Amino acid sequence: MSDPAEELLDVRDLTVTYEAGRAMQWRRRPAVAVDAVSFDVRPGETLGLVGESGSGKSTIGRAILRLVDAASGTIHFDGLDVTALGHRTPLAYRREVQAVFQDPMSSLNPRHAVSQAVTTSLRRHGLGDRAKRAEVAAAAFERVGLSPAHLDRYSTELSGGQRQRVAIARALALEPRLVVCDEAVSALDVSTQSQIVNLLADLQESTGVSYLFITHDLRVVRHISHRIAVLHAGRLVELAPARLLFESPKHPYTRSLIAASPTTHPEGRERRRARRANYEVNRYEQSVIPRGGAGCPFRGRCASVMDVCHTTTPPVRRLADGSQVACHLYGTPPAGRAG
Amino acid sequence: MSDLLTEHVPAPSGSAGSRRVWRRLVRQPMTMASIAFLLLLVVVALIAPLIAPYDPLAEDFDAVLLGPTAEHLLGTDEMGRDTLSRLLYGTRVALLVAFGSVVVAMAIGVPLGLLLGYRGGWWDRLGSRAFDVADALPGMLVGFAVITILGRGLLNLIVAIGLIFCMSFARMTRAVTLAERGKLYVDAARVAGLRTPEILFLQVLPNLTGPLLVQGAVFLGSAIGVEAALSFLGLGLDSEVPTWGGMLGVAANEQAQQPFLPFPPGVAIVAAVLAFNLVSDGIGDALAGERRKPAGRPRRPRTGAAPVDGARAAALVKGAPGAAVDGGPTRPDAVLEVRGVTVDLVRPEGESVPLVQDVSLSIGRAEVVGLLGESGSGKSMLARSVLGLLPPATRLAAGSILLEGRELVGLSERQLREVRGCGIGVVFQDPMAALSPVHAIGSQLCEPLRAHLKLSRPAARERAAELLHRVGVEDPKRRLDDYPHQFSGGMAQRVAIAMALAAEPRLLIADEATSALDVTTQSQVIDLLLDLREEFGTAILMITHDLGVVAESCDRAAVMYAGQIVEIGEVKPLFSRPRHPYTAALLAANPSDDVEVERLPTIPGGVPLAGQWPSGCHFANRCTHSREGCTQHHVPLADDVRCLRANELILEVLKR
Repeated sequence: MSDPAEELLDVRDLTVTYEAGRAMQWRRRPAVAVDAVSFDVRPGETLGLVGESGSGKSTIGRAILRLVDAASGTIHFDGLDVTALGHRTPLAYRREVQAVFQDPMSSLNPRHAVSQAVTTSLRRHGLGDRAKRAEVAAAAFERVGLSPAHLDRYSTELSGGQRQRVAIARALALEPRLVVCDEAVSALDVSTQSQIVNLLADLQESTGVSYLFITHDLRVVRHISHRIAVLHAGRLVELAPARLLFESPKHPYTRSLIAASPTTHPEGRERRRARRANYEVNRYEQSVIPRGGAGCPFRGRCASVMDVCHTTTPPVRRLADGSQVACHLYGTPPAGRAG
Repeated sequence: MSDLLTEHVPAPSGSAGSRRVWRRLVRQPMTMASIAFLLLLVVVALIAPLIAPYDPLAEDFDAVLLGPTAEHLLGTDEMGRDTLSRLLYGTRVALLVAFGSVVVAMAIGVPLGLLLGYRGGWWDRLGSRAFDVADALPGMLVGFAVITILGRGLLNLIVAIGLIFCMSFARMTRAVTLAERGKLYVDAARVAGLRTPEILFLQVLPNLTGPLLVQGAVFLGSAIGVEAALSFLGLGLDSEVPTWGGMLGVAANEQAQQPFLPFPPGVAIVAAVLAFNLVSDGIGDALAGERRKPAGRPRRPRTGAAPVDGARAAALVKGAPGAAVDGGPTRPDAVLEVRGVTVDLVRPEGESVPLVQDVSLSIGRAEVVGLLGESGSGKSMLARSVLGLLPPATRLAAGSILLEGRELVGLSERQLREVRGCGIGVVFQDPMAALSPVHAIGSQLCEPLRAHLKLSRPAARERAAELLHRVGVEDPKRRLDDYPHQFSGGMAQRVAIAMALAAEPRLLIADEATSALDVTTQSQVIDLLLDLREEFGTAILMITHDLGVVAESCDRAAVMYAGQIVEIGEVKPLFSRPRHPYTAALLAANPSDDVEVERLPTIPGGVPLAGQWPSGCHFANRCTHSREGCTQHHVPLADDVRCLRANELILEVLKR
């Protein structure tokens, strides 16, 4: 891989564990949510992070936001190892890395006027006096397509799309260099969703901000991402430029994900239905394979499963076309740092 | 169910929260009377020296233990002191102790609860055990201990009572904080870089004001009771000082000579405690109204669950013939025939707001019909009217619903239950909502089999296992004894489908049944529904906001916008050559994974709320093709499309 300084965010072998078990137990066993995941995000780039529920995609976002601690591995932001920081997060990092969450209803404080979402963080970061902060909030609202009349509203008085615009205004008012968008458009209606996707793209063009776009929706992620990372059971299974990933998916899981994604036209649906049956064997059986053990986590559902898949965890390999994939089907010698 | 109405019906008023709570409080006469009484007590306490007829400490041994007389309206005590004057002065101590001790209790309890709830982990576990221990100690004992150590006096009394109450505040604050901590606004505050105290006191605490007010008012009353008890036992203030509890203590000793003595302080204590409790209840009710508020849903008129009396229903059906024009020709083979259905929301003021307008739709045997719409389109409300499960405050205002030729409008609740059991199966978005968490799924599956198909117990179990196997649950015999929480989301949805199909219904309504599932699971569930349709000939009404689900699964589809069907037809032409501008715009806005475009086309604005629909064409204000005539007249559904310009427009669809 190239000079690390070129990347804005560089995640290496990130592992996050959760305490599992009943709430009343005194001793708990850790469960692996994210297992040695590596990727990077470049300045001005959008990296899509795709996976089904439980794949660990949101946990990665939360680790970057320092809302959960990493068990091992590193997260370098602009050369600074974030995982080596102590209990306190430097304010400078908070300013440069912001977030837009899924549920715009609960991500805004119901007891505050929505403009306070913007002014509170400005005040914390010591930006401007009271009048200046109100001015910045009004400008941020205008930039995300809200009118000054919305400033004094409460979140319950806004529609889903408007709330998400407020959340974006809050994130961008601090002029961050990276925004973690965790299912930022998933709860919205189709027509609203496209408005917000376009808004995010416009803002990236004008400010050069990078996005880590976490979602389960392949169709949206293709539109907004430059590169896409696919997660399965806490592990990175494939990372490739967006077009390449859709035109030639490598990992059987990626293929089944693309095959399962509902398309936009009924034409050819009988063929797709037949094809779906081939990508996954035991389609009714969601084999649960304990995490963290040896072997490929997808082997229980994989149509191309081989003996080696049961014994050895496939490492992430870099292929000639620039994609990275963790699958024994691509058994070329490991390249780069991934080995 | 309530969330159906939550988002899309405009609230009657749009001002901030606390003002609304206050307005709701004003409407409660008991609460307002209690508040007035308590304000009176405060005034009395302040001006006691001005209104008291005597010095409360002035002894008059010529007039001891008098009953009510003209000179001493409430009589005198054993030292000849005027009872009325002592009662008025006693108000000062009562209120000082009440407010003082609650302030002390909150000052200790609230920060403690915030910290424990927010930190969680070991802090919380140890803290909660400490609360339990503190709870096990009788409050009075704590009071005795504190006063014994610190000595008597007003301040010590306040501290003692404050300590008795502080654990309750801490416990409640912890519980609410624990719930608030899981909300995203707290994460957002952390991401903004806010310090922990800022998050606790500026972000979380405002959300606690309601519960704290309720609890505070209760304890204001309790404090007066505790103060009285401690003073009665001689642990309160010096017996010289006029307090209500002290007066009670004297009265107990002298009751034999003067039976009237206990009444004045007793009534004062009871009245004050009662007033505080009533205020607490009032605030609680007002806040509960606040929480229900976003629903914009009036509480009283229970017009839901379909119209009741038969005469009216008959009138409704008769009134429906116009619908047949809108819905095209009626089909003799239809499993479900919906004609001219209109659903209204009834506001408490009596005005009704349409949620669904004149919808007609039919589904044939083994046909899958999609009902496509964004939130607020009325699609789920239509499904509920078919099921006879309209939420409270809504009613079927017109229309007819035929299931295999049988009119469902006007059926009694009992007949409807029978229809829901046998004729129509339903699968909702959240499978857990359909499954009871406390019963094994086997018994839940067997119940409809035994009730509707009259199977014996072993036969029902056998059939239940077959059904589970059919929907793709592995090892079905063993899994019959499992509980819903032991199934993953996708598996639980399969079980819900098995339950919906148990009584072999002719119609299955899938209301966003795949929306909460992962894509691979979603496609499996769609494939399963299609398999079952082929096998049993079940008609399926697929309600969804997802164009992809319609494209993958439906034979025909109806597109709903703002309460109306705007276009209906075979799926393939619908997607290739949409005839309504809204359908075309929706298709264009839907991101595709096989076409790359620079920008996603969008529809400006948002779906208008019910009650704010434009006149004429509901879509006109967002439509790029609208012209003058569009907003002037009601636009009928003609030739399966509701657009005045349907015949002249050639709507562009991206090449795929």
